[in-house]
Amino acid sequence: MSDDLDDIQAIFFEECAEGLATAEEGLSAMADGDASADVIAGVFRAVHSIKGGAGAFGHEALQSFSHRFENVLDEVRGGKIPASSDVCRTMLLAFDVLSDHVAAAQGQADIPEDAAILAELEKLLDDKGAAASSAAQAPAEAAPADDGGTDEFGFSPVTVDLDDLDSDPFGFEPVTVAIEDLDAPAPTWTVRFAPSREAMANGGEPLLVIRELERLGAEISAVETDTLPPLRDLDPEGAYFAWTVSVPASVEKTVIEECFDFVAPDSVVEIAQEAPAPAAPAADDGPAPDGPEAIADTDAPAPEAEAEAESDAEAAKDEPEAEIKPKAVEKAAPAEAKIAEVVQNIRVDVSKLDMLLNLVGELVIRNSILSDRLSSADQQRVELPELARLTREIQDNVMSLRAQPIRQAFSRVPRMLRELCVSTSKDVALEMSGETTEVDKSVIEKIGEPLTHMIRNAVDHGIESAEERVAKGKPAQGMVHLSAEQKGARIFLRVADDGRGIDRERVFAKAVEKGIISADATLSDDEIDNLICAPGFSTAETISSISGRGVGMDVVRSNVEALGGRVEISSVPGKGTTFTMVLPLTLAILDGMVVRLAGQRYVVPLANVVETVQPESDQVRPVANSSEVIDLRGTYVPVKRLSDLFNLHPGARDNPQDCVVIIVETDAGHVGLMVDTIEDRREVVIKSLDQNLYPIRGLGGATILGDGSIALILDIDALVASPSSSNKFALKGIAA
Amino acid sequence: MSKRILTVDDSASMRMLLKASLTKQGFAIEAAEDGEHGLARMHELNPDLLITDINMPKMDGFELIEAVRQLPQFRGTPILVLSTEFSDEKKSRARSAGATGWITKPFDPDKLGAAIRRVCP
Amino acid sequence: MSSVENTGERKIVTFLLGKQMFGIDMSALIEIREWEEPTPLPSVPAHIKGVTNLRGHVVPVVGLAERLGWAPSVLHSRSCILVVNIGGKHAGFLVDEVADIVAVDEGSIQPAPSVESFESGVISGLVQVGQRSSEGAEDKEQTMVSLLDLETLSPTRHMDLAA
Repeated sequence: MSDDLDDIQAIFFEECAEGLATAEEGLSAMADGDASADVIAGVFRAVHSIKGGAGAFGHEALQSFSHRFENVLDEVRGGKIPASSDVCRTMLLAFDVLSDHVAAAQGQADIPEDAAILAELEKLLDDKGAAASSAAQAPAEAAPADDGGTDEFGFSPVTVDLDDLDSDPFGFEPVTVAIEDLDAPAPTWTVRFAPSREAMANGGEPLLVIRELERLGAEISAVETDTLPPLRDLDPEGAYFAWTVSVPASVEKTVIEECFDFVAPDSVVEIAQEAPAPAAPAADDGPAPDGPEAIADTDAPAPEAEAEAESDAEAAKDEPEAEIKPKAVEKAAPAEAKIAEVVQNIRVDVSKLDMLLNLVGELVIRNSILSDRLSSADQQRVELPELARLTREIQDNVMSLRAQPIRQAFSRVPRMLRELCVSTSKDVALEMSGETTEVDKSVIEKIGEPLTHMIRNAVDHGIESAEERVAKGKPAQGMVHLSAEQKGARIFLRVADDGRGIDRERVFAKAVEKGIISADATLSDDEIDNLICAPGFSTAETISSISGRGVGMDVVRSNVEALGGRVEISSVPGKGTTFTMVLPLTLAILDGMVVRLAGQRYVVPLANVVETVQPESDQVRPVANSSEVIDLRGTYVPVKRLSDLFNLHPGARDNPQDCVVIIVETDAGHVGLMVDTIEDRREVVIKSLDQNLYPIRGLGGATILGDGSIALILDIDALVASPSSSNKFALKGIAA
Repeated sequence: MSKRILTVDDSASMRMLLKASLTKQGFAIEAAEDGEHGLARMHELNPDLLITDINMPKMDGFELIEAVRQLPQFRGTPILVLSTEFSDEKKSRARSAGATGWITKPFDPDKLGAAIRRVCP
Repeated sequence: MSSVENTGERKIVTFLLGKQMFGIDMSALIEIREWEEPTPLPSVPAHIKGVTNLRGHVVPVVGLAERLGWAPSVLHSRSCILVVNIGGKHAGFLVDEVADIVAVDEGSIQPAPSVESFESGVISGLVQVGQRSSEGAEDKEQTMVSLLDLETLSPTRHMDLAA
């Protein structure tokens, strides 16, 4: 059970994360002026659910805080507190603390200091009180949630002790009157129960109370039947009798009271302790149990009969029900209607999805083996194309199971930015776009940290102080734009700021100082910008509390490269810096072109391939510094020999006419990649080199081909932009 | 001859928690995640008892109780509200909508079981 | 790897590299494969000879001789690859010849002398084992086996150098 409970609790925390995201989205919308009822209700419900679960799992601090937050939200929902920008601001701050409480409940952080924000929330309730009614504060103070579930039963009847008669404001509660004789030695309890006439409405059944008391050892000592009207006046759904029962003294009073938890309003319950059990009419003992039962049968025959029929049918559930129940016919229609509207969700362990994905990968490989080995006539005969189509569909479906909107990764950003603004005293607005872009779950999980770093970097180092900005003629408020975009099989995640841009002189000096480059190195602007990703580099003059302890963009770069992605930096002095994470859409399957070079096979991602060219004589020409270009219908495109990039067989230069040039699209424009031959076009399952080795720049991973051999998958952008080649890249951009 | 109970709560963890703790006590538990779904499941399952949350998307607990009570076959079906709310106003609203009883979250599984037996013949 | 290990006793796979006898923990061994030319990788240190397909996994193959700073092994018919599990990551090590599987007493393992031609940490200890003579006869001669520390040899440790 404790394992079950842990599992359920894990789901609760997932719900918290979802709830927090909903709440933040809603509160942000409210802050932006959209205080529609739906938005507010959504926020309220999110916080409310967190409170409920927190209570169930015993997270008292979280429960207490969410409860008080909820009180304010409830008033906002009811229109008693206006959703003004100040109120929204306070609620956003409260939201931040709520997130901290959730983290604390998960054991990921300490319980946050929340006194200040609670005071602000209370003040909202007070101010509203000043404006509207003074009674408003009461719910907040009555808050029983704070006592952490000592009283599990909110509905337990309010016992009206004789010295406390003025309470019981509950229409819902029974009027319980306890008459205690304090001096008496504690003999049996005498309980009189007179259900109200409506006691059997709403599914109530007073008889059950009597039965429960009997289970406690009670005996019925009297049944008042004189209130029973003549048959013609009898309301079959009305309650007429009253019972007096004696309960053993050993039973605690609260236990007796609990039996009356759900009795109808206006019912009379008297619990008294009297010396001798009243020797009330013993003759009634016989008929008494029969009486109520007979009435119960008349009153509510349906539930009992149904209950039995159903329990019998239970094992076989729905189908036999149709025969047993005459209502089956009318039931069928609504049930069908429901299937159409309800989206059912199943939670699946991610490891199962991973397993599924792996199996699909193997299936894809088997498919290519079959198509390798069978002639095309045989392929048709065994309907291989159909199998391939199905395989592809399965694969797409499996991928879509794992795809999630990148919003999840973005969700932490607004709060982070708010905090950064406070700690740096800068005013920075956030703009987000492309949150709905869907990415494989594995990618989402791993970009959180690099993203955080990039945002911090932008605010800490990029955006200037308000005075500095105004002096430069910029708006005082800085801007960070976070965007996601899918292009082919890649996701582009950008963090753009409108700050001061990279100070290349300082970066250069710093890199020299840190021994990363030599003082006489000649570097392009791009190369200097990229130095900030060099291990051990940090531009902050004093190690800032925000960007951390000297770990910086080099961590971002290695994280992103571990995902088979890369980081690009572009900066315009005075105008701002854009960091771009280029990530694979999936870490699993790739549409690729298998090429051969020096006896090895490589895979070029099809997403990069523009066209392939079998060069004519003179179409590939040498230019300065042993670079080459290809004349592509009058445009010169730089050519890279894969053999050079990989240092495969330095010296030997194949004649371009014996080679194939694959024109690939890179971020640096079109580039021709010279290989020996093109073998095939196929889907390959990406095996990360990281799994058993480490990521290698220029490679997106490896794959296992149909014959069991390994082909390396090229990361074209990184390959072309790699430092070893960039110095030769004289013609970069010519055909861009 | 276990009682069949439909629990309606928009929180999956709460549904699972209810299911786990009540199944152990011998009840047969079915679940729905909002009022609309809950109403549909009522038709489908015809349970012995309905336990519903109040704050839910689409159709909230009050609306669900009203809708259920309007159906003749469910006039006598006990309905318990299980909510973190505890205000008198909410409770009396639930009562007039047709709820049989009200239990405040968080719940103690044993007490919940006792409460169920209190309303469920 | 969850092999049964009696406390106090360790199963060691011994093998030859050059003229020296080395050993690794049996529990780390996944399989012994015949040498097969791996797929070479660009921009990796020379001792990483490439990657090979091990039942659907892409596993790096390390030339142990080069890794220890020696001249590359000369391949011959008994050359083989010890595929091992190092903290969940798989790697193959090219060795000259697998010798034996022996049980050694934990107490008989001596700490590696700190002054050695190896980089520190590579040798985790030294132990004398009775080794079958080449004819497989019963008489055993005592041989000194250097136990390798696989964590230190793991090719993933070279990330910093290659990045």
